[in-house]
Amino acid sequence: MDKPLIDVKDLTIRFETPQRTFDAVRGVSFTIGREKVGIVGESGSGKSQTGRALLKLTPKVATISAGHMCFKDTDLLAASEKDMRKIRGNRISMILQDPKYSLNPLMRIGQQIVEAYRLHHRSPKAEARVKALAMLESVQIRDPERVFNLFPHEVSGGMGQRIMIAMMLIPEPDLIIADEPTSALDVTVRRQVLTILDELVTRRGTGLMFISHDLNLVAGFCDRVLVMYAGRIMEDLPARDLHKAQHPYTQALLQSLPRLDTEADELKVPVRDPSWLDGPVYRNGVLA
Amino acid sequence: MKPSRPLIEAIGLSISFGPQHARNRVVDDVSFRIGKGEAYGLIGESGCGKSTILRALSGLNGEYEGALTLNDRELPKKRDKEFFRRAQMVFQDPFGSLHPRKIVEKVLSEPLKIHGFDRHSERIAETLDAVGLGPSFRYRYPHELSGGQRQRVAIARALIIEPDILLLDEPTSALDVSVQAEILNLLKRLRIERNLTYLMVSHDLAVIAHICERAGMMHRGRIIEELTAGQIRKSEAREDYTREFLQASVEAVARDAEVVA
Repeated sequence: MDKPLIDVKDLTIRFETPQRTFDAVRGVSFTIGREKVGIVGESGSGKSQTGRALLKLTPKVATISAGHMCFKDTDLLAASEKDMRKIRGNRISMILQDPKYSLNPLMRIGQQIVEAYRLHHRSPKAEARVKALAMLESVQIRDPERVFNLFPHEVSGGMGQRIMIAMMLIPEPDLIIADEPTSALDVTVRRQVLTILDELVTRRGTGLMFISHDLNLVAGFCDRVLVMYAGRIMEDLPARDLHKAQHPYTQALLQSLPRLDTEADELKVPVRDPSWLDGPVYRNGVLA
Repeated sequence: MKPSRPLIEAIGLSISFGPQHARNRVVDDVSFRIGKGEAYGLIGESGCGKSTILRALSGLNGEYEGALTLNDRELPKKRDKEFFRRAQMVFQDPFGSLHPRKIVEKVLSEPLKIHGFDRHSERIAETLDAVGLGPSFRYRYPHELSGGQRQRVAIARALIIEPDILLLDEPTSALDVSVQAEILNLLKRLRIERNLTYLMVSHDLAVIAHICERAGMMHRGRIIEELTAGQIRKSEAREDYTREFLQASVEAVARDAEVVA
């Protein structure tokens, strides 16, 4: 395999307030190639902060430190705000959880996609429009001409999310960070959105970092899974081996899911072991 | 099924929205029955009308055709206070459903005041205990609680006036899996302890199969078929649409384990 898109070593994100210091992410190392990598964990486990750190979108009170954090040949740690603006959206783009809040409510959908394209490509308006329509079609929106002129409140959640995907893919980025892209959607729409995302990502050879709290979803969709807990990666393993997970935390998460194939009177609630905070972690089923 | 009369019954329920010339029928001639102490689920994709039914039943939307009955008596379009004492709702989003500037005690004492209950202080303590929150949570604001704790408060608020019916609108879909397990266990335990009747809306089949005995599969405003929890687990459906929906929901982890086994 060639050089990974993202190579992160010992990433730490520290929040400092006058009252206390808190490390949201503690020494996380991982690489992402042209593959689908899922990051799972509960709220507060640091998964979203890890995703945002790659774009240096962490809040001002937080400081990022790392051994190294590279995107292809760019050293993200050393990159200036100006350099980052060239990377954001253009080479690494981000799909957010809820299209209701992440699309501009006052702008027609088509205009937003055209804007995303023209921000990164010098092109006449007419050409951008054709591109945007083609993109809408590729995320399986029937009648793109009509949708082009709608406002975000006039489309459903699933369609909104597909529009977001279209918008994020149109500058043809190398890496997409998707932060809970489908948790606001229901099962059938979710499947449809994932299929589209999968197809586009695979066809273009884009890398995908898929942040989710849904183990099942990640297991079925991604190639590799990183399980985060309390700011650390507890386990890094191929998605198809998730049921063979070694770390007690991963196992506990899996057991806490209600399952269709087995009936349980009571679901197991993960009992958190304080030793996990600094205990051993697993990579591909063996101790790392 | 026991031959006893249902506690809740919907007969030919239809709900439409929009202006006269462009009426959109969101719920179309839906009928179902829920016996006392039973847990009934409504499943389906978004926009199929499942939450709309719940809102109509709870009295949040009185604009419906057909009838909804409680104990064989038709409910008035404008619900009376007695109905609200008997049926309470738990909403999907614990971040939106609690007043941000009211402490837990205030949240819990309001329904008691409205319905004229006595022993406020004791009842609050008992109910907090029943949902697994200690007395220390009594004087907290919602922002001082985690998502799971907030949902427990929302459940406590519904339970404090001792209703027989809980209407649950996706009660765990905004929560983490580990927290979801806690809340589902709580709901299951409370139902047995207090002999509650549940009507639960969810798009997660595993959650429905875990909590409910029966569920109605909804599609385009209709209940296209009713399934038992066992049938859901075994993917036994008559309708193609249901079968597709069931298959789309089989967990990937389970599937992988099967391949290996």
